Amino acid sequence: MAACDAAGIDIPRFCYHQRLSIAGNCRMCLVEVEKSPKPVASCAMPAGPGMKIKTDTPLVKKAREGVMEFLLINHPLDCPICDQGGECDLQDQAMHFGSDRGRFTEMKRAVDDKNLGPLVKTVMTRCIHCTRCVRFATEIAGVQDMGITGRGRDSEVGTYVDKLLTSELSGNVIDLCPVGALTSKPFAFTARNWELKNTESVDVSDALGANIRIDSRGAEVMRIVPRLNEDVNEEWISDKARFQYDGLKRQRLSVPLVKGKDGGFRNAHWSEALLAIQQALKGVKGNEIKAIAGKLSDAEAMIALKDLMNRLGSGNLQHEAGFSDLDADVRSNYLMNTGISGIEKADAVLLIGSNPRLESPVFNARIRKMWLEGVPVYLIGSQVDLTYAYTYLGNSPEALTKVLKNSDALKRLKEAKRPAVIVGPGVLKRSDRDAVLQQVHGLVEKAEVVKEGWNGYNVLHDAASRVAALDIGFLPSARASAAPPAKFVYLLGSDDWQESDIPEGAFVVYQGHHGDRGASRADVILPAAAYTEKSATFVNTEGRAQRTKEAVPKPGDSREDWQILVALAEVLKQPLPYKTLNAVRERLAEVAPHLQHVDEREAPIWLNGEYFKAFASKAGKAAASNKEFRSSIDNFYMTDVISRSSQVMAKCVQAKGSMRQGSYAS
Amino acid sequence: MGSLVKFLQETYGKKSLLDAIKAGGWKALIDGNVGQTTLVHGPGATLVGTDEFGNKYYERMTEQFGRHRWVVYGNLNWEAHGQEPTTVPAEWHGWLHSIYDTPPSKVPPKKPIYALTQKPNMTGQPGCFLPKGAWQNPEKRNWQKMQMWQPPSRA
Repeated sequence: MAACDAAGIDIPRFCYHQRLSIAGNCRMCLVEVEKSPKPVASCAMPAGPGMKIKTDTPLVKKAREGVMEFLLINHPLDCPICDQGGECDLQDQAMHFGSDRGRFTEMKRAVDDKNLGPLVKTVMTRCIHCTRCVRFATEIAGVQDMGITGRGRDSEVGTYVDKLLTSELSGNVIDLCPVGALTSKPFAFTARNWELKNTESVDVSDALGANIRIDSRGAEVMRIVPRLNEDVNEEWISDKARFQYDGLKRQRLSVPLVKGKDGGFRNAHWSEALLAIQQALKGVKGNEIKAIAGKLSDAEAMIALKDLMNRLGSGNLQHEAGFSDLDADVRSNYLMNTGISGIEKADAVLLIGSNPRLESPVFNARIRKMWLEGVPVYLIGSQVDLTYAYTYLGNSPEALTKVLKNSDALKRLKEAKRPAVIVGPGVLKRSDRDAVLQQVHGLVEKAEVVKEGWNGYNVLHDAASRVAALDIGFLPSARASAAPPAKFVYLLGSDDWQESDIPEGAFVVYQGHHGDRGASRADVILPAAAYTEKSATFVNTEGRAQRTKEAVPKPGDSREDWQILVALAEVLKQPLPYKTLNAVRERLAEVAPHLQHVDEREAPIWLNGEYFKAFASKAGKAAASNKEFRSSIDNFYMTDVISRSSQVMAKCVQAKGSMRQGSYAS
Repeated sequence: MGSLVKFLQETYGKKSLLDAIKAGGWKALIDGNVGQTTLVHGPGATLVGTDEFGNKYYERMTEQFGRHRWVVYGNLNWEAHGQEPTTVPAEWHGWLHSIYDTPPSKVPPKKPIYALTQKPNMTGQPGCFLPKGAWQNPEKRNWQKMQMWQPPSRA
């Protein structure tokens, strides 16, 4: 079949999928091979030299017609009420290859629907037993939950006992299903696929930057589906990326709000809100101003905020969720240097303080793919089910020291041609980060993780905006630590700030799209656009700049983040030198040129380990505490404002809670 | 004539002809339908039963088949809801259209547990069905696709 695809000849198929093992059970891909007495299933037939394959003979036509007739025997005639209608492989192929009439007069089979949790809706009568979902669950998601029971006419796809699909990638079975047996539960009966507007965009639910297609109708995002990008997400996205969109319709901020004297918010015009900020800034010194960027902030907004803050005399810039002063001078120090797809070339992997299953499930699937190919995986971190087996080396910096001294793991990494070390976001959040990082650096040098033509030092991030923040230097300046307690705090979509970040009595401005913790604390709220409503640049954990696109209009009076900041700068009499989005991007390119090369990954330079020495001399000798490594994510389904506002995600949490699988989360 | 008087008295439930005419019997002169059922067909027919809407069901087997059963509506007004065919309950409808011959007044019909009570067609009146988006519908549909954040009450 691959040979025919390469030759540009389409062969109909149901069970065959490039990324899954070959099952050969749908029989739709039958072709005629010369000297073969029977038609051959092309998906399972290796192409040989001199082989003559015929795909348009009467025999093939008859074979396809026959297979289609058999498939349709037990397929219900409910296309008009089926959510797959319009994008159904069976529908399309029945039109192309099916017979014009059926001969079937008996009763159709009926199958009980299975409960696969709050995300995947099942109508199992429609199932044609292609087993794509079963193969996906066992091979890619790594959960042994699905399978086929029964034989022949009685075979059923399902979880063996009534059990939920406990994978963070479960939504992908919806795309894989060629018929309407597995469909999206939140999307059920809300729209037909031909009335949706497709916008190709980028996901911000984790730092992977999965490529997505936003399907919208009018002002509503109706669903989100993955887009093919071999280098980033292949064709999978996590459940959070796929199903958090209903959070975009809840708890939104649509008008500027100003806190009155009585402590209650009142609706305001933009000019009022901006003037209120101007009033509050009167008499506040530059070093008493602080800005905190959130997990979902885009690069344009952060550069505008940085420029504005610098103009106001403040260098106290932070990215929320604590890595306030990570040194961002050398890009290779905080990026995934192998690249997301490049990690597959590695032949030994060490995870340090990371639970990629929660931090980036799609990336975790890649590690699993490597593990299936025999690559050994070592873990220093919390001992959880990562969907693949690993050698557990301990869960504390002490274990790291032990590995560093002498161990099998170190030997294996040293022997490996392309070893990879993955540092999780949990490490960057530790209070003793510098000490732990020095140990990691030592390990990297000792195990020769970086060598000619290979840089295996990887940092996995968990927030979409983090790498962009580091790239443009959205970090506290050298003197920021000496600054007095802030009197004015600017929250750029930040809701996960530490209590110590905002002193009591400080004037807080919250600019963002969801009312959450940040908005509750704020004195002035400026409504901004969410990632589906603006064209903005995000940089993923491997340093690939990607742009979202505006899929739906912004709600109410809200504006794009950079526009708000430019307007605020005008009001504060500190105008920024850009007025258009392109001008902002030019400024971005000045600060970090690679942000202009969208969808391209610029490999960072490795300074031959010089950076490690500089880091060590700067950080000094600090002892690592013996605190256990923890993933930065406790609850996969609720990490940012959008997913916290989402009811679907809340249902997922509930479903997971009711399953009481203690080993599931860290 | 005697049977006519008797019939009118019975139809309107009055003692005298005058009272019956006052109570609405006069309509028989100007309303063809009422006239037909009360004056032409009516006299001499047997009153088979009455339903909860006050509709009276008559039968006279000497009539031509198909005209031998008829209904005199409880409400003989011309305005809305007068002479409304949808007030005929299902069980009487069956008898009226000769689907079966035993009237529900003789053998009470078996009703399934999910059966609803007969509801007349309310078109054009208060209480009529309105689509959920109709502007006349007092239950206003929420067209707002987004739910906005409500600031916490000042505490």
